[in-house]
Amino acid sequence: MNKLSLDKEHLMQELLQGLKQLEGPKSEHRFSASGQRLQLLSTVLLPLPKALKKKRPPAKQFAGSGKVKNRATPVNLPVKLIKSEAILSEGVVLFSIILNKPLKASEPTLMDTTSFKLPSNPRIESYTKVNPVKLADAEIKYGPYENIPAFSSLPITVHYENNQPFVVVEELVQEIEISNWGNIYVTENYQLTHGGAKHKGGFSRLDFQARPGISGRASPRGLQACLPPRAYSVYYRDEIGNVSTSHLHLDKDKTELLFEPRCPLLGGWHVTFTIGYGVPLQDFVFRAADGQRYLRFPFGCPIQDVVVKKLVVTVVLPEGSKEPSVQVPFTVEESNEVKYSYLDSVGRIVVVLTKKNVVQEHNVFFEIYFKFNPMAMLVEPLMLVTGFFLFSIAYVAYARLEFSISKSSASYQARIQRAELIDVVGRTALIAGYARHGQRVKSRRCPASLMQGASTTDVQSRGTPLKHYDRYLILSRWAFNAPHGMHRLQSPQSTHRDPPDFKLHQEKT
Amino acid sequence: MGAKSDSGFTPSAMASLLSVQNSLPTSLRNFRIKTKQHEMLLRVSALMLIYVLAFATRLFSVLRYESMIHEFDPYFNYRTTLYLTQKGFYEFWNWFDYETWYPLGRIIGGTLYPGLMVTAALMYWALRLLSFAVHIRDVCVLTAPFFASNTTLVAYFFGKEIWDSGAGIVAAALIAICPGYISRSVAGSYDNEGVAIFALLFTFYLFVKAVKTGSLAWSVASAFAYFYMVSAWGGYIFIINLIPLYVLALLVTGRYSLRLYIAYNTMYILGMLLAMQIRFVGFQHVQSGEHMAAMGVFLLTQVFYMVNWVKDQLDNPKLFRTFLRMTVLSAVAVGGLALALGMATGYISPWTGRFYSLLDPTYAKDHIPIIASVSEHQPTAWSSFMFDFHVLLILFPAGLYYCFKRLNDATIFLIIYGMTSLYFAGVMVRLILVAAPAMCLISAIAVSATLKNLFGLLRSKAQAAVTTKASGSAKGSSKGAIDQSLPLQKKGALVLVLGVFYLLMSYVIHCTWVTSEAYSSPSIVLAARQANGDKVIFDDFREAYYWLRHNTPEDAKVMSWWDYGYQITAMGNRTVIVDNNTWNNTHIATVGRAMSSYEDEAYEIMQELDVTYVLVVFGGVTGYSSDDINKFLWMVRIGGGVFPVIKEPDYLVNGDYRVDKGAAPKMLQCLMYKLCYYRFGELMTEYGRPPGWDRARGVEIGNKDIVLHHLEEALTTSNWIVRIYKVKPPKNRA
Repeated sequence: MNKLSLDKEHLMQELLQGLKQLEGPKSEHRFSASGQRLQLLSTVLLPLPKALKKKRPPAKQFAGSGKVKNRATPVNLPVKLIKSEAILSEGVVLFSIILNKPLKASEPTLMDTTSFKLPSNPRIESYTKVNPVKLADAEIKYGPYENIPAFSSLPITVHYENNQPFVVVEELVQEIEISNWGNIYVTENYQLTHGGAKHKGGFSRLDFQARPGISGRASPRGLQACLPPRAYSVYYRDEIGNVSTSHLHLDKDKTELLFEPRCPLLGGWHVTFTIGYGVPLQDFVFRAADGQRYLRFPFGCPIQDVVVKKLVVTVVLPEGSKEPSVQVPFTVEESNEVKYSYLDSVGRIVVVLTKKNVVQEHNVFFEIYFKFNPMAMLVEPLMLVTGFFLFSIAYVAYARLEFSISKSSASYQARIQRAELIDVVGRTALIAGYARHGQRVKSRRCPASLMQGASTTDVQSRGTPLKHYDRYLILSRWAFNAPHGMHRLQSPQSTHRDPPDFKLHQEKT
Repeated sequence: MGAKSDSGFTPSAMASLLSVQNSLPTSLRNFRIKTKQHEMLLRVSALMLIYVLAFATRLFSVLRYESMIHEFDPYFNYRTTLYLTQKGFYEFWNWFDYETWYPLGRIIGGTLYPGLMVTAALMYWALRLLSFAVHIRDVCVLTAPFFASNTTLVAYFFGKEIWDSGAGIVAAALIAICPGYISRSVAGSYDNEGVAIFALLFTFYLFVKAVKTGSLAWSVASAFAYFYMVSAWGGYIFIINLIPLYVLALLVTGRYSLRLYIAYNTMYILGMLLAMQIRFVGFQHVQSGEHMAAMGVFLLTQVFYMVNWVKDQLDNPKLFRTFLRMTVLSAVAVGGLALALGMATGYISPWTGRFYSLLDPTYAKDHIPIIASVSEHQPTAWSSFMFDFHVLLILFPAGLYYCFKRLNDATIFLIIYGMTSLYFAGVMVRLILVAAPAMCLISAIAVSATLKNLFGLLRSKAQAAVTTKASGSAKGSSKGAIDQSLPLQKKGALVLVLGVFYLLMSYVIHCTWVTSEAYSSPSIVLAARQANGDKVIFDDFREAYYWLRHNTPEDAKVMSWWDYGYQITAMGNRTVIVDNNTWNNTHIATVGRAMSSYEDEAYEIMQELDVTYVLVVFGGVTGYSSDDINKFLWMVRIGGGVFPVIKEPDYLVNGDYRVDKGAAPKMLQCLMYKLCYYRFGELMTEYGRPPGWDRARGVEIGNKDIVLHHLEEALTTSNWIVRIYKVKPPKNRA
């Protein structure tokens, strides 16, 4: 069983959801420290269905606030239709109403009533009692209180059962990477928490599976993310790999990802994951009239029915972009970074937008304008081409050039001589060897093997020649040390007497 | 690359290079150069294709599943590589890991072979430097295929060195798809063996080259390759025993030469000094019994050198013979005495259990249950030889025949390598891997030599006179009699050629099938087919580890059987009591004892070990057969090996291992049974069966109402494969 204790933070969220209509670019609403009372409000944005565009009822403000009898003289207010592309959803128009007398909370309130509507048949454990307070069906009604001093507040706690899966995104880092080669790659890193009452005691899989209505009722069994249409290569993974519990529905207007967290999500449990996809560039990047390019992308979290406590949108512009400017229909924190990705030399400009407490209604389009020179696209391919070219050149140089330290050095000369000597010896030995084996000499084979013997310093190892070679290796080494090597070589008996000189070998190297 | 530097110096190669250059504008003039160019082109493109093929065939698992690390040990390697790339080499080298072997901890830098991690980290850093924004996981996943590709190149050069370039190409092609090698080098199998086989073959190649040339440069190169091998895998013991064996064989057969002396001494001394830099190996080269053969042979070569020198000095053969007898006797005596002294004083450590179990396959079964409990340490069945080698098994003897026909230093090496590794492959399943390159090389010689002979016969129609002799030295004498009946011979040759191609084709088909079906499963994700043919994925392991990672306190200690230790630390990021390192048998035995005790006793052990969670793997719902109940007897055995309180017969009924109603009473009440089957008795697993039907063992369980007093179920994954229990804190004193 999950119980929700409605603390200040939740109230704040609920209020936020309640006040979403009041929020707009010009609104100056603020919350007091307790987060419960509206202080100053001079502009109200009113979303109305399109059908009411013409037949809009007049907006009126009552002169005073408080008791009913003072509301007798309403004043008509100027109303403006706002032509914003930041459309909340299809078929809604926005009107801006400017109040001629700002709503203030700094004045003493004459009368106040607050009521909480709870889900039907709630199990209420407790609620703060500030008389007069009335509990009727699923509604707790506080008040009316009269003559309340300005800025006074009282915390109210209502403790009742609520089995909604309170999915809260603690932090969502969304990276939108624009590649001018035709794609936009979106990566969303989620830190998800079940914001409901903390789970206590054990977890029984048997009950969870067999009796879903009783056990783990508040656990979200499926989440839904609405991705842009024509999204492709959608993936859903986390730090340790792909998560296999997801389904993707594609149609013309939208891409729907239905997914489950990797492990069950009970009250207070956490899970992190990443959703990523690509979308075609032409769907979201356009050219402005002044030659600039701009990205027009939906802000906010694509998962339905969640509150995002902190949303960080990072837009990675293509390398070579300049002067980014952001247009968001509400206030966001803005900063810039530089990111290095594949084959980057100067790095890409990253625009970071941070906003706290984001709800569904923030899912509006935002725009980022930037300047981009199409020639910058060629930098990376040219770099690759140059790299390969240089590599080939280096290889050609390596193959064609002689890298020994000096051709006139004694060791080089000695090596050449040694190779020649071995060559001669090898040939002789081979002929001798084949001659001994009589029929093995073949008209075709013999020259070939001789050629082989000559082509490498190591004689093709075939029984007899090898032994000769072994001996002559010693011989030749020793021979070159002697002042008249070739001469000494002709008397092989003498070589048996002297051990081969290994100091010589070291000197040579 | 060896060939390159060689040809740079030889005049004839330079000449051919120049002539190639000259022939380009007037290519028609010199036809011979052109065929050489053709051959070169063919060879290079074939090698490139093989290189790509070796890489591509190992990607089945990435395509089927995802780019992920497989199995158990690779997770440890991945975790350490991650640490290396994040914290740098010095931190890695001095890493004391307190997340494993709680409360003992483990000095990671001193107890692992760092070659693999350093290789992957270097590749990662190099790619980053070239501004390729790759993830370290992908580098790790693709390390093994990349090194397998490199191994094909080494196999080519090795084959070329031993036989000819044709054999080299065939060897490269065979090893590229050899299942015995693929089993340990598919993408994601990020294990030491992946790079070690490359290092092993490379060391051998360089050493054979060094012996052949007597060049100091090649010997030094082989010493460095040996160093890389030592840094990468404990299997370096094989090299340091095989090379002395080879040298000894050469000495005994009278093939001692100065080249051998240079090659072996350089390689041994330098390789030994380099190997001492690896902390895990340390001074073992001079202190451990397993390395003493190399040292003995090293001394023996000195004796040989001296004897040869004296032989040159003394003219009198009689005098020399006495001298020889004296030296050999005294050398053996001194060596034996030194060895005995070293053993007696304990300076030289005796052979380890693993080494013994290689020489005597029954040793581990009787003495070290922890080695015997691992399936890859079992003796190899015939079927797995066929599975892993296929036609190589048939070609191997033929190749050996060719090697014996053309006996020289290089082929002798190959013969010794082939025979010893085949023996070891028979002792332990996992050592099939070491035998794979030898099998491929020897088989390549068989294929190449046979085809060469046969094609010689087939091509001989034009010049009948020459053909009879051109059939090759191998068959020259035997074919002499049949030479007269030319048409029949040609038909026979054709049939044989077709036969060889059929064999090779069936090898390719078999290899691809084995790779895709058997060796490309990550084993961390299980896949099964439903009745309607759909693939079902059981991702329970990761579900459990992920839950541990995010929903348990950071200092939680998880007790599980040691198999899952690496995975829990790598994926769950939680402290474990024991893991796959198995360095402390007592600690593992303690866990085994806890699992096989009654809950009360187990609770005391768990309190002593400060355990907060217990994780068991249970296949009763899915039919996953390598679960903890099936491994349980090993826990009993290993636990009983240290704590005699645990007796194996207590868990058996007349020698039978049962979990149903007829099971032993202790079995039905021990912790492992309780944790696996807790509330399982209420679950219907199969239609038409009673509740509590264990699908892995096909029985109805014997204890259906299990009550846990000291533990509570914390998480059971969606298919019940992993069950995690929380250990309750002790009760308050009333």
